[in-house]
Amino acid sequence: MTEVHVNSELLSLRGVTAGYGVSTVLDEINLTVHERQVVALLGANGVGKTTLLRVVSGLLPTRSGSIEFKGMQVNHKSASQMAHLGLAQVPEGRGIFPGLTVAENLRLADFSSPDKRTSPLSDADISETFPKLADRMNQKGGTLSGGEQQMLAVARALRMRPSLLLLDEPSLGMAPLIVQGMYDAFERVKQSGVAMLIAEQATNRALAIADYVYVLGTGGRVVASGTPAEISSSSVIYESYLG
Amino acid sequence: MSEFLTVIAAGLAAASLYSLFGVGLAFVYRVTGVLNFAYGAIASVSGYIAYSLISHELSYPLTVLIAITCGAIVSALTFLLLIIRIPSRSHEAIGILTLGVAIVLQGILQSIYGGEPYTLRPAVTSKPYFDIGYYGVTAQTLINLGIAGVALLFLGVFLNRTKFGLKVRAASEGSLTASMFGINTVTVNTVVWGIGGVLAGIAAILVTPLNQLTPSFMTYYLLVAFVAVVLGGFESILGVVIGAILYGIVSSLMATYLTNRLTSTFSFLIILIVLIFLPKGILGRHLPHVNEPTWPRSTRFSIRAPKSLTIRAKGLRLKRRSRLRSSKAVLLMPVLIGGVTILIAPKLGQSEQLLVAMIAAYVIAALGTDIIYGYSGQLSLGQSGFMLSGAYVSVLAQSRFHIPYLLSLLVAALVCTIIGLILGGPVSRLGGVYLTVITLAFALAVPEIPNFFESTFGGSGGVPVMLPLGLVGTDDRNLHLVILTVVLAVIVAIPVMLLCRSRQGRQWRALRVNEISAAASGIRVSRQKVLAFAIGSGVCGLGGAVASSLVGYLSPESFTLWDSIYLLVAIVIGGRASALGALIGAALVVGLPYATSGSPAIAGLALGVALIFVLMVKPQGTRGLILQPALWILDLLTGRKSQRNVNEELESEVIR
Repeated sequence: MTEVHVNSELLSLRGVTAGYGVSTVLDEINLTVHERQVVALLGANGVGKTTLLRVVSGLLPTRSGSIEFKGMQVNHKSASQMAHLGLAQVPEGRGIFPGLTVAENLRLADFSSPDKRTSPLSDADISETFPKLADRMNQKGGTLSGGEQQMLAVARALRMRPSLLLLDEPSLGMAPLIVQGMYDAFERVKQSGVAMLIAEQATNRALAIADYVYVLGTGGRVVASGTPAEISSSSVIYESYLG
Repeated sequence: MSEFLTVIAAGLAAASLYSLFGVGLAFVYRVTGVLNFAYGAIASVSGYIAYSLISHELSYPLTVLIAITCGAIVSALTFLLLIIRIPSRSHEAIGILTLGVAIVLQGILQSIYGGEPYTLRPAVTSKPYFDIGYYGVTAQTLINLGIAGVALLFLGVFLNRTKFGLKVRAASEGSLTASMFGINTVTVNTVVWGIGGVLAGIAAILVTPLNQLTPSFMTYYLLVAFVAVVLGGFESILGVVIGAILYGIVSSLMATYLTNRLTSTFSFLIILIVLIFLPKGILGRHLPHVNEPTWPRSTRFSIRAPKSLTIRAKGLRLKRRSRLRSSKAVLLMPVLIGGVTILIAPKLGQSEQLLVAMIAAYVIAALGTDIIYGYSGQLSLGQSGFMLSGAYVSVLAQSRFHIPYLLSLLVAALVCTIIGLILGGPVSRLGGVYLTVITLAFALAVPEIPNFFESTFGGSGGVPVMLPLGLVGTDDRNLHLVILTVVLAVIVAIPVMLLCRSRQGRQWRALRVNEISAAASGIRVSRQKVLAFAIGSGVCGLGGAVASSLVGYLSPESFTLWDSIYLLVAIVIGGRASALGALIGAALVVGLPYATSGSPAIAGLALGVALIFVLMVKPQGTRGLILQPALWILDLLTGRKSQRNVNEELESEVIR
């Protein structure tokens, strides 16, 4: 159905329903991320993009449906178990520890190496991709600017050598120039073969990098999916954003 | 000069203990967000185990090792079995849970070792090293300083130089985010509680040669630990150490050159002043936190939406309750219960009659506690302080100013309300934990005042209290007391119930359920909290005045911190925000020690276990057990079918 070349499924959600308290946010979601594939998750505010990422990362339990990661049923895995299985994320709000130094923030990634043989990215690799961070290794995370924190969050997630990287609204609150630099970095990550699931409101950026796109609509359902070309040629995005 | 040096050295020796204790408390609070009121009890466990092992001729180092390990295990288990499993995540509920642990541990110690004090052999029993006058610096002092220093150094190295330390620091800044990096935060927090237990154990073993070992001997150290923690700003470990040193030296100087009979009052004043002027502590630093999203955790009790909570544009309306509770007829309930009690009273024996009168007096205090904790959701431990104040005010008003008994009760309530306003005013804006700490200090400080001003208050010997006789038409002394107190309890219960059913009471309940929504609906949160605290404290003072007049004698030991704790236990077990709950709870906490007379340890143990059970399993309290049948009877009488299920309704109030 798509032009993805690698067919092995890395992550698949089947009929996943989830929510908070009495409200149901995700309703029967079906979604697949293949290995080395970049999937964009689009939709207006409040349709459940973040909730979907929380469910995948083990922070929020599912009500029904199944989640498989690397062919394993992971519905009841905790967030820390998912990290050990090879899932990394740049969470909403970036998740930088303000009282830890940049170096310490990066070292947190070493606690979960799913494959003990692959060593985490060295500091040299980091400074090659994110030169600005290298100068600030001993600075407290809380003193970094928003863009630098985002870089640190991405670097930290990559240092985990993940199979799948979850990105929640990476462009939120960023200056356009910084967003450009960040997506350049994502492009390099994509070339290195890491699969990504990007929840994004900056539709154009996401469409440019994605191999496949899901659009969430109100009621927490997938209202459309397809290749970026198919999605951008249809009016489904406009409709989903305008209700 | 040499005496001055000795005093400073003694202060430093004390400071080393305070800092161990305070750092343990602050460390657990900083990482897991729980202020552990069982900390003193956990320390006592280590102290008693050390005592047992030493009296079995075990070598000293091995004894210390085993005792400290036991403290660590008890502490870690408290977290693993209780703290992370409690359905309500509110910090008041968790605070009371740790109080429950303290009650249970103390009950166990008391039933094994009895209440008599023991003395632990010091590590070294040699002569003072340096004889610089007065006390001399003993070997024990130097050992205390050394061990405390080494322990704190180890903690610092562990936190800043090890891999696990990095995990701990990450988890303390944001446990959710830490878990995304493969850090098992449950393991980390359990270890942190274990380390807290280790520090408590070390402190207990170092302090026991100086203080005698009794089941509650650590209460005082809990207070000084709080002083150190407040000075340090709750989250800065360095600040706590500095705070402990400052407090140790200053209190040592004060004890020597001024008086040593006002130490708790002194601690109370320091906490009050620091909280008013330097709420972030002397270093003015707060631990930065990751800006983490929060969402409602689906526990058993929050799946259901609070049906009774509807927020209207103007003011927050919490209503639509069952007919049983919303009808005005419910106000007849206290009259009915009181009337039946008075009718039964003549048939009871002498001691049962006194018991009923005492329960009635504690119902008044429990109603006051319910206003503070049950309605407005503030965790205060000051009730015993207010009961004692109220009792002394009433007695003095009668003996000095010849004010009649009933009027003196009013004066007592009024004075306690004013004290509550003064105390609650500056502290309530800071939020929950601060009120608990300051009221704990208050409860420990009040008994020192009558002790110190002997000429006015009769000192530790106490003062006689005139029995209030000749007010009700009976000559039987005990029967007279029953009728009087029951009538007083009913007279207090009705306005309290009316108040809590009014717009006022709904505001309190609203801010208990969700402070931010309450503020957004136009409720002045700080003002309402202070008001609830002051009114509740006034009612507690009234209860104390009534209770003291039953005994005919009043001393500074008439009401202790344990009264505050048991009043909270009463509200939790009976069910919060309910006069019926206050009655059930008061009957339990007064009646149970009476029923198990001769073994207070068993009563305490039973109440502690019941408290923990209610918090963990049935957070809505036990009053539903009585309310539901009452609702059925009402349905039967009126011939209508009630649509509501009381337990379901009560559950909806538990949501935070």
